Amino acid sequence: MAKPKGKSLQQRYKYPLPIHPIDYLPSVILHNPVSWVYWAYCFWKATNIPSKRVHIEFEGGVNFPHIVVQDKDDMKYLWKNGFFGTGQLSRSEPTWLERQEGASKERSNDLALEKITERRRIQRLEFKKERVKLEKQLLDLRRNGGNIEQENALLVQEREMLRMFKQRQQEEGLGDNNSVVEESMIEGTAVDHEYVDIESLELMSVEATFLSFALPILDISPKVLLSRLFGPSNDITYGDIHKFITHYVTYHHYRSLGWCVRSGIKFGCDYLLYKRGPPFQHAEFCIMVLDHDKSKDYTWYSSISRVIGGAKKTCVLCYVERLLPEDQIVEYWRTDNFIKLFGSYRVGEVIYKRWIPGKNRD
Amino acid sequence: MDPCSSDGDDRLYLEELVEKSLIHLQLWKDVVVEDKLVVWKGVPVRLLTGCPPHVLSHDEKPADGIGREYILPVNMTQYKEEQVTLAFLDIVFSELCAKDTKRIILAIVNTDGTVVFYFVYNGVHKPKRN
Repeated sequence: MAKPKGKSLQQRYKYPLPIHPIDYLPSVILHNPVSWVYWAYCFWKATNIPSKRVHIEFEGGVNFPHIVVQDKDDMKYLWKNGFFGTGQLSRSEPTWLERQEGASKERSNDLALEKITERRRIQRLEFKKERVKLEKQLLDLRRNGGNIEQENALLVQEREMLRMFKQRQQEEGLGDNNSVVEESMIEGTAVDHEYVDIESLELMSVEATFLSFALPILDISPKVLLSRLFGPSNDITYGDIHKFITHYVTYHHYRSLGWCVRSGIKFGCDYLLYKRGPPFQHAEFCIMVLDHDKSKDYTWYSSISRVIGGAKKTCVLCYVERLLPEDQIVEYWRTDNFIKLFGSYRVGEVIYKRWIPGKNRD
Repeated sequence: MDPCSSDGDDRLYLEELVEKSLIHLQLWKDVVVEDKLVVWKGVPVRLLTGCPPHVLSHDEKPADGIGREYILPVNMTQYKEEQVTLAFLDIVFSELCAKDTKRIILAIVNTDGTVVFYFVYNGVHKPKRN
């Protein structure tokens, strides 16, 4: 992955959450008591409650509602302050419009994530083609009755050539395959070369709940949001909300510990944990949310751990335990006592790792 | 399908999302929602078809040209509730696809704004070399 300048990233994504510390207080001059008073006045008057709430819409039918943000600035704001939501037409950050504009201007130094991925895929494809070519040589040699020494010599030669090929690709870097990508990207919804943005930012239900219950960011109360997602609270049974609560509790748990939590759908797990966020580094941990009193069969653990291991991440099994009886929880839900409700769960985690005797000596 | 029912709303939105994603993110061409419809466990199902911008799997020979692909959109929740069973896929292959269709693409729509795509082959298929 190409590394944009570290410092500008730090500045661009200064805040880990959409709520900011009060950092605009005047300086205090020790020998000037008036400045103390002024400082105290500013401190008393200061607030970090956002002046404007983010508006969300519900799209789709009642069974599978999608929570979306359509305002351009709000989309940017949520992404920049804690990486909330995903652009529906992008890999994560909503960049569809920029990509369209970039493609029509044929900017070659564009580092949109989608382009990097595309280029990497093309490189990998070329590598595979090369490998097939070399393997065919070996097969021909075997067919023509070549001896072991000839075979070994060819194998060594092949390995060397593939290594060189890969190195060459890396040196060429991300610069060379532009033409392939650009051409295919030029078609878009162009109206006189002005693009109309058709992308919205979609929030997971846990993200929306976090931004409404834990932080005052969305223009919807937790009560209204949850009744829109799960129906009127009078008809709720514990079974309807159990899964959501365990997932929310886990999400809240890691967010409050300072992690950037995003959906893990691409790796077959519930959440991904980023130390700071997707532009900074790859996610380190994959979270699987589980009930503390239930166990799955071994193949389940084995298969998810293989998928996660293949992506060079660590698999964390996150066990959520309910501390109060079910009807108490439902009662809290009905009376909108969400602080007590989400506080009635405990989270514990275990790292699951495949152990290979030959490789894991230390 | 009755567009006024709530199931219809969900279905239309699902199709629209997958269509948008194919055209504007995956850069496919000629994407259309097909008319043919089957009802499975009370849920109406339609396929989308379209042409990908390049050969989808490097095991295929480019000589065959880029063919039209069938895309089956499902919601993640439905997928997890095991709506996608072998019997269901069998009906999709026999009722919604042309005869001798080798594969369809399962488009799973998550509620986090992503669509993930998986190949589903009709019958045994030689695994792709990684």
